[in-house]
Amino acid sequence: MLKPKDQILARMYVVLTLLSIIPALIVVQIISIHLNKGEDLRLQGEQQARSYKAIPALRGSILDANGRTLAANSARYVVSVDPTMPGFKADASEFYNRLEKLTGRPASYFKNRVNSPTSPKYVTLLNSVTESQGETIDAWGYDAVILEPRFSRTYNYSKMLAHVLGHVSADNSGIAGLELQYEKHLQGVPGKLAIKKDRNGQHQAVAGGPIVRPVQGENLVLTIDVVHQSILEEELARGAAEAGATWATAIAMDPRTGAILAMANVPTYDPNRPAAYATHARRNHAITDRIEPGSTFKLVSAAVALEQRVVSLSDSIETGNGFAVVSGVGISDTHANGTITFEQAIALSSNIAFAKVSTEIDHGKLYQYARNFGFGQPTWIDLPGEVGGRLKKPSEWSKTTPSRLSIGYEVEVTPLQVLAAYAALANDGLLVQPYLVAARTDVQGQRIWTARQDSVRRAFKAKTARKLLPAFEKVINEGTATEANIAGVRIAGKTGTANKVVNGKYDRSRSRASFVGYFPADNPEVAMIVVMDEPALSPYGGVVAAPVFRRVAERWLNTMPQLYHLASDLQDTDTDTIPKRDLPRVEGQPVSLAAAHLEAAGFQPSRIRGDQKDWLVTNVSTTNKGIIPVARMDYEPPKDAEKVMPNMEGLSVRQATNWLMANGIEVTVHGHGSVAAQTPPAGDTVDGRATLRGTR
Amino acid sequence: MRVWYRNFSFDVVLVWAALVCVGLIAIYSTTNGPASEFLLESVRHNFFRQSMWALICSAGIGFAFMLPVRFFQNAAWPAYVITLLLLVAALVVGTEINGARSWIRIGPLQLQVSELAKVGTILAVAQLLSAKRARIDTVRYALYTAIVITIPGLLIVLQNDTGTALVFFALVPIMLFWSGLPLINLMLIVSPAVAAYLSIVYLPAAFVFAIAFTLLVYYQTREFRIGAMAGLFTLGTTLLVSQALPKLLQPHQVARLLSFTNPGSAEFRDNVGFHLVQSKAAIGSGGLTGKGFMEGTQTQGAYVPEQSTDFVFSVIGEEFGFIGSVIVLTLFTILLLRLISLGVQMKHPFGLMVAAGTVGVYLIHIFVNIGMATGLLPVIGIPLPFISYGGSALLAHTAMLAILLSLHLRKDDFSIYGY
Repeated sequence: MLKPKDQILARMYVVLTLLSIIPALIVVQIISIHLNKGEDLRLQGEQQARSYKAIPALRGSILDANGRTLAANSARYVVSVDPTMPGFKADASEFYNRLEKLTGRPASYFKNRVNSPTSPKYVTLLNSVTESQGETIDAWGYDAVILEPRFSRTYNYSKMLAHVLGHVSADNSGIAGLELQYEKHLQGVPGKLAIKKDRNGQHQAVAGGPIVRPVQGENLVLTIDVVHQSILEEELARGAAEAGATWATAIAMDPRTGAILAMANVPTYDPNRPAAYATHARRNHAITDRIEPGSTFKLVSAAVALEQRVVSLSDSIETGNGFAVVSGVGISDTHANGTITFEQAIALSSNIAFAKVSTEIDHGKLYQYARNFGFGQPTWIDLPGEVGGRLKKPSEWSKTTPSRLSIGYEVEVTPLQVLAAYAALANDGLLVQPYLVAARTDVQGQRIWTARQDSVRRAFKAKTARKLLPAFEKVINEGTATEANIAGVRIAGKTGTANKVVNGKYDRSRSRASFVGYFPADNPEVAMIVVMDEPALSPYGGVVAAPVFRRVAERWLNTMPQLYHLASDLQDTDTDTIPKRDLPRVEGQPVSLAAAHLEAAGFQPSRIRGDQKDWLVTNVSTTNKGIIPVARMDYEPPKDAEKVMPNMEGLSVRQATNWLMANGIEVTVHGHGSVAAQTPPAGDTVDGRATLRGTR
Repeated sequence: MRVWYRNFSFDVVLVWAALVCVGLIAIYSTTNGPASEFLLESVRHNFFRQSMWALICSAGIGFAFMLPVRFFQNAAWPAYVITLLLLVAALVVGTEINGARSWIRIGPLQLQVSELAKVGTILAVAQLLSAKRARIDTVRYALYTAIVITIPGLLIVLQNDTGTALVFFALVPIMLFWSGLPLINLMLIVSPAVAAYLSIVYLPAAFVFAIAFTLLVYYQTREFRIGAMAGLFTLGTTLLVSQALPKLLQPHQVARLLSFTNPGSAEFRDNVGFHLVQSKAAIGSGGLTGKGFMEGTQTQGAYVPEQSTDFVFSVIGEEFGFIGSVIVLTLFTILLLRLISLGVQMKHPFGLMVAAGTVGVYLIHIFVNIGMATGLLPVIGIPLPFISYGGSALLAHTAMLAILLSLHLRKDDFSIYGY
């Protein structure tokens, strides 16, 4: 036995040996890694580092205010062939004929493409076939066919809201409208996946290799409702056709919040096929055109005149026989109005009266008010390409400028700026920020951002706004815009008629006619502007633009619950033109399905609480007969003790099947379309199995 | 007059700081370089968090220097009891990370109690073995030691943190070795592990080892009973591992055990062997001088999983090459040798046993971790001391070091004579 001291020493030696063995072992192992496999491993490392495959991110959808999808993504296929594949020559003509039947393109077209290839092994025949066409082609089983899936942007309502939505380029990035403005949010972030090639040259994901999941694009929820938009587009197109205008634009917004309710242009285009339309058809005149507004600008002059105490509304002004020389320039009215009050001057749109008043207004003040109303600068609505117009600084003014400016000449504005100015009048002088996107949601539909309504500045005093209101109501009741009058609805507004400049001179035969107004005047819900370019029918806004305003307003009243009471009296004259709708029988159906059923039949279903989606409908009543009648559903929870089979008849087979499966019932389906028959019948107990028979 | 800090080991603190810096550099490269785009948001802050932990640990070392030696001795058993309570608490209220339920959340901190448990256990064992009677009754005290270490080890097994538990079990022979158990007994305890390892790597070697070991033991002791035990342990383990293992364990467990011998084979390449193939590719492609800081294609491509934690050595191997790896190994060797000499210099067995335990823990961690990264050992997820990302591990490893340094600083207090 060793002595304690020696024993410790012995143990020390053991420890030291171990301590030197272990690093030595590791160093040997590292050296062996370097010597044996260094080159292989280095190659592997480098090869891996180079091969990545992008995982595309899904572009966000664009939804209307009520969640209807305006712009979505659909899967498309690119069809190509490799003509060098053995056996393709023999099958080629049969393949072309089948393609002709499927797509409608002549077989010779495909033949030519293959015979004059740009690349010998890869000839693209079709750039975008639908999912079902792609599946059909795949089922034919030709080895030479290469089918590559890709996303394609689809605008479900084709031309509707085209200028607001904009469109995307071939690589699915936004190049106009909201698609461009919100590109950052819509596009998402593509993911990345490390891949390697196996012996057959096929790409394979590296198991456990680095992967970055794509961040899907965000959805946009607009302030615009499809129903409002379609009415505005329809009436604008009709009005523009009747007036013979070269182009027309109309915008409506909620004057209290700045939320745009509708925005339309004539001519328009289909964003699904933007290249098929001329450039001018793709122009959003509402924000990109600088036009001289004419009389609508008199709101600014009136506000500054009252607030600077230059005149009061009851002051008399001599306008004579309709022609006068003010500041050395001839100014004319449409009629000889004689001696009128300033209030009448607004209603009758007397240029002479305004020009005379303008001589007493301080130049700086006039400029300041025009700026405060938002002229000479963009409104910063969330659309690309907006222009700010042109408002000359007082230092650039000539002697004639004040009188010209007071009646809306020598200033260039956009239709949206004019609308925003009148919204300020409706809003007791507060200018609000117009906006189109109410919210952004993530791919699951959860809100991640909600727009906050924002005021820009106080353009003028609330007291002045209330003083001016009767004058602008008079425009409709007895002034230049009687065409915009709707019995029972208080409307305030102003017409505008401006001669166009052609070759540096005002051309009296060409004009821009506009009407801007809001209703109801005592509690404004909607402000709207209609602008027409070179109307052939008449140069006057009161004749060509005001009727469009009236028709839209009349039809909108039916779609806005808060304004139904105004609309109810007016329906007698117009109900004939509204197609009659049959209320579908939805009694006994689950509420969520019944709502979809009613919507498909042209009714606006009442709102449902989320936890009551699976209740059963007991009774349906329509509460009014508007363009979109509202269907109010009564419902009750299903009896819990047993599973009751709901009434599925008339529902789409697919929705009915999905609902049943989600409730744990196995479904056998015969046919498709809508449900024609069901077992077990409605109200019976269901024991986990059901059969549906479709109409087709 | 002798200054109070004459026993202060500046060199050990410097080596510690150097290792922590190497770790921070490697962590920065993996989590803030081009690789970060592949990482989760939470991982991208690893560098910042580890820096904070390093600062906390520096303060901790300073604090430990202020404590008297008796404090550590008196605190040993309470610390052990607290350790056990924490381990049980983690089982009951702990949070699960990477499948192991060994984390406790305290305010903003997530503490891995299985790492912290090492400190309390080593203090307790040191206190146990420094008793006078341990000198005389070695076998009984060896049994006590095994029990004191095994209880937290088993609790950690229950937490499903097998890697950390393994450190505890491997600590048993090391502590017994220092406590004075006869070498033959120790060798008997260790021999099955060696046999098992060899039978996985190269079966004939295991048989050769078993026979040679049995003969050696027999000729050394001349006792048939002990020789038979040696033969039973080694041959039995060899046969058990080579023949019965696939039947006893789940296929994925077997694959994990066996894969390190040939990780690149078609069978393992894309699953259990993936870590190792990528780690070896990283180290092998680093060459002599490495590809440079944040230039490693393997590292920045995030091919090596867990590269800021368990596989941090592959980052050093790739970006700083063979020279970098050897520098790290040298730093570790210096640290361990210095700690042993500190232990031996102390005039009290408590200090020696703390040094033994600390060195033992470091040795196991270093060997298992680097062995795993280079393909010497199966993949067992334990961190490389001071270098791998992980606040609890850094804290625990630094605490052991700080206690040892503090004991050494006041080693004269161990004696009533004060010399």
